[in-house]
Amino acid sequence: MDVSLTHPLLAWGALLALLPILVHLLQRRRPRPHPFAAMELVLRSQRENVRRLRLRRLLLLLARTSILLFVPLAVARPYLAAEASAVASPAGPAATAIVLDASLSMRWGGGKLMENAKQDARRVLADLLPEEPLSVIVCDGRPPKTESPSFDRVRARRRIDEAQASHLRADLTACLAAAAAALAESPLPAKRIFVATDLTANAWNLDAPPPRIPTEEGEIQPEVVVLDAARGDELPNAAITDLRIEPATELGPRGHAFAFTVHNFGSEDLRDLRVELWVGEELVNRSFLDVPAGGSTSRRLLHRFPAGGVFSGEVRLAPDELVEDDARFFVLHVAPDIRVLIVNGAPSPLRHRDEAFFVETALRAGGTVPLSVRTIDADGLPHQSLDDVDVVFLLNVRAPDRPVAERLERFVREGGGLFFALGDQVDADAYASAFGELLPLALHLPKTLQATGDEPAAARFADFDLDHPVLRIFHGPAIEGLESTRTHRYFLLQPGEGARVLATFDDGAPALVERSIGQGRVILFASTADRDWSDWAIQTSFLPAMQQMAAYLARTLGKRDVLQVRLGESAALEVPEGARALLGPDGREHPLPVVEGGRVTFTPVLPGVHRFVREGGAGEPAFTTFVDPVESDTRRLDPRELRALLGGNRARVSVEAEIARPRETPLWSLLLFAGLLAFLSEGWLLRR
Amino acid sequence: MAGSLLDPRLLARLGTLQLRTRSVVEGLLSGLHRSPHQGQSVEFAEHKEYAPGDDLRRIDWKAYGKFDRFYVKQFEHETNLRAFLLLDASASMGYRGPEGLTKLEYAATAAAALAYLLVRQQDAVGLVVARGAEIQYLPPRAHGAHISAVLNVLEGLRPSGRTDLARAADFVAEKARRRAAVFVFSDLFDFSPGALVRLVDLRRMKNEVSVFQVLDPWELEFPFEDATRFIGLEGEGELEVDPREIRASYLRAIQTLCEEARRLCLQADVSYELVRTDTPLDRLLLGHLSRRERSARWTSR
Repeated sequence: MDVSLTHPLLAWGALLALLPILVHLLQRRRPRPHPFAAMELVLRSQRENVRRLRLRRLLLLLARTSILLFVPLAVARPYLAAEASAVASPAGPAATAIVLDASLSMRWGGGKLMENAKQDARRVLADLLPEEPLSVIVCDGRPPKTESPSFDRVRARRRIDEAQASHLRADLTACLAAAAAALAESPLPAKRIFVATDLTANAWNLDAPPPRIPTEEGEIQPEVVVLDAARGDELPNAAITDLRIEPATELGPRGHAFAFTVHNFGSEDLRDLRVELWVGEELVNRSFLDVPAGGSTSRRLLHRFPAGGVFSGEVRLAPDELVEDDARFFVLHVAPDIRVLIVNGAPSPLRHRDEAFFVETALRAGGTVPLSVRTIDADGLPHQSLDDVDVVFLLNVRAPDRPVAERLERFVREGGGLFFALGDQVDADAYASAFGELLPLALHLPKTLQATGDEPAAARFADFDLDHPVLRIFHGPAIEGLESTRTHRYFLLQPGEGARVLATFDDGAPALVERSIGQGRVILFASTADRDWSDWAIQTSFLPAMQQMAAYLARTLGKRDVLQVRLGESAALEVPEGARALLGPDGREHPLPVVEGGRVTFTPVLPGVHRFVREGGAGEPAFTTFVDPVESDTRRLDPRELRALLGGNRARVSVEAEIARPRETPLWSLLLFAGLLAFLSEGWLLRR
Repeated sequence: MAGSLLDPRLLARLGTLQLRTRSVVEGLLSGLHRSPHQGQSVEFAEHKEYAPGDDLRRIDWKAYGKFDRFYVKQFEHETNLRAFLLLDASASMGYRGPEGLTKLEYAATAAAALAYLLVRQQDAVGLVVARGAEIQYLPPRAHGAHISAVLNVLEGLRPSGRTDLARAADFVAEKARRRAAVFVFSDLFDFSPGALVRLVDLRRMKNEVSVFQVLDPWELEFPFEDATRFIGLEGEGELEVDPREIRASYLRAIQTLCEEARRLCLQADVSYELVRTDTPLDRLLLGHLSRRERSARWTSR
């Protein structure tokens, strides 16, 4: 609190207070001599009164000095300037609720806004009348905990002190409604709500009506006081609002593009904003952006991983006042080299008639899946070691001997992948005898479609299982590459269990079936992989389908897609066997409930990589989280707009000027009164 | 307008004590239209052989018939008084306010007038002037020439020394061997223990004592306003003080002093009179003489 003067120059008049002292000093030096007879009586009187006289003299001096000090000071109109109280002064006590915005944006400035908001809330708390009940609602993005207004100030104070800004998006409109509901429980007729917030527009539902409180006399509109934690300042912020990781074929296998978007929510253009790509602890790429005020810029950062594996990292902006949205985390499964063995059951010197030509060409074509392809004739299979092979393609291969078949079965059960393409070398009975359960479905008879007129007979693919990892890439227009395939001969498959049909022919016969055996996978295509029975090999879908199948059979497909979860949303997790908990970015473990089917729902609250925890330590990444981009939008509402939103005259927004403006308590009347008192005292002392 | 003529402020303008005394006495005599001595009887004392110049009315014709010689009757006054005028001439008696007479001048004038009156009615008047340790003394005489001696002494008085009433009282007690009237003129500023008691003790010796406490109005009213450096006239030292601050206390003190003197005098059957130096002298003396006359009648009854 400071004392200020309305008319400072007039305060110089206070120097008049020196006059009594000067007069006193001058009078002391010039007493008038007077010979006197009754000197003894004078001496006695003086001795008798010396203490009283000293005191009286002192009081007189004090009174006179006070008169001459207080009056000029009063004329200068001093006032006591104290920081404005956040509390409005409605008539009579009011049930009060404090809504404390604890959303992500309140972390702006390293927590400064949150501290301001808590300080405002404490001031409200301190200024409350004893008969005013209070409810504190921390609006941090989770469902607000509403409590009936109470007089437990200690508890309220603790709630305020313990409030921390979260990483979530908060809905202040909902919290206001919760506050209104809490206030409805108080019998006091007057209601008011204080909202300590940064005024960011994203926290409000601008279409919602002002809060209303049901009472016995009908609905009333509470007084709403918005306390600006930003003190009227702008809150410039840049944020990464989007990150997509795509294969970068131009970089070859294991090349990835990290496409991101940066938004500038400030009012000034950003120049040369540095963006970095970090993989683990290594800075692998960087770029500089110009982002216009209120706009956004998208860019890609490229990186080729030297080997397969699981990589975590982040795309990071140069830190600003709100650092939580300056980074986006990722976890990426980079496929290792897949070793493919193609067993050619019908080789031909004419390459286009060779059984393996199209498959080998497709697998060697390069792309996002790093493949190492080796082709052998069917005769070489018995002598071929499968130890350094991930996937075996059996293309129109005659049924092998039992030992070879058993080796293949063992290979699959131990995690290998096996692809069957059929043809004229395939005998259903021999296959059944050799491979047995290794076939997803047992072969029945080959079916040949008869031509009708000029139009050759052909079957088309139908009933695609596009959720299957192999076919997932054919969503949208890409499906045409599959649908245009014509097949005029194929094996009919016997019905069975345990197989998943990825696609059928348009007569309903299974065309592509898959089955897991042991730790391995087997896919069977009911026709040929060359152009003998089907023209799939020359369709656009053939190449990606073969590569996808190789990756799927090698169990590398799909691992790239580590779940990215926006904070505030729930993640449906497929819990791997042995995982008992989730490890958050802050190092805290969250136990996973035991559920049937291995899927749980988890709602994260912190940005970063979350990992499953197994016995013995943290395991594979479970998902990554990112802050809600809406919360990164720190553009503020105009106080007038907010007032209108909250009910016009019943609402008040304390922006910086109001908060910082001192509360003026006039002192001049007190000084005048003191001067008058001094004047009367002086008269009284003189009469004594 | 004797009263106005006897105003001390006017008397102060008269140069000498004699002039002042004459003014006072003349005024006083005109005021004494009915003399307090009227009806006063005389008793035959002795015969004296006639000598030229004697009043023929006082020739005793019976004695002439018997002795054939002229004898004149001589009478003796019934009240043949011996009076002592005790005058305090200490330094404090030299005080005077902004105008008028000093206390000593006032007291001397009153004493002179009183002496004149007393001698005029055949009383013997003595003068004791106390000035600190020094005492000046004129023994009582009743003849007219004595008055000149008294006036001369009073005329030449200069205040000095400290007030010593006890010493003066002792001196008077020693001189007044038989019943006498003692008139004391003093401000009674003798704060030594028992001083006033010694003075009123003169009454125990069958003396008729009258105390005139002579004070200046400024001593009684203490009307000072500005800061003043008071200087004691009898060597008490100096004191710088705001008079307003001690006025109430001082007034209480001076009142206590006067009341104490009055009380002691009343207890000892001593006539006491507080005299302000601005009081007209005729009023003072007439008043005193009237009271004394009434007192004498009351006593003779």
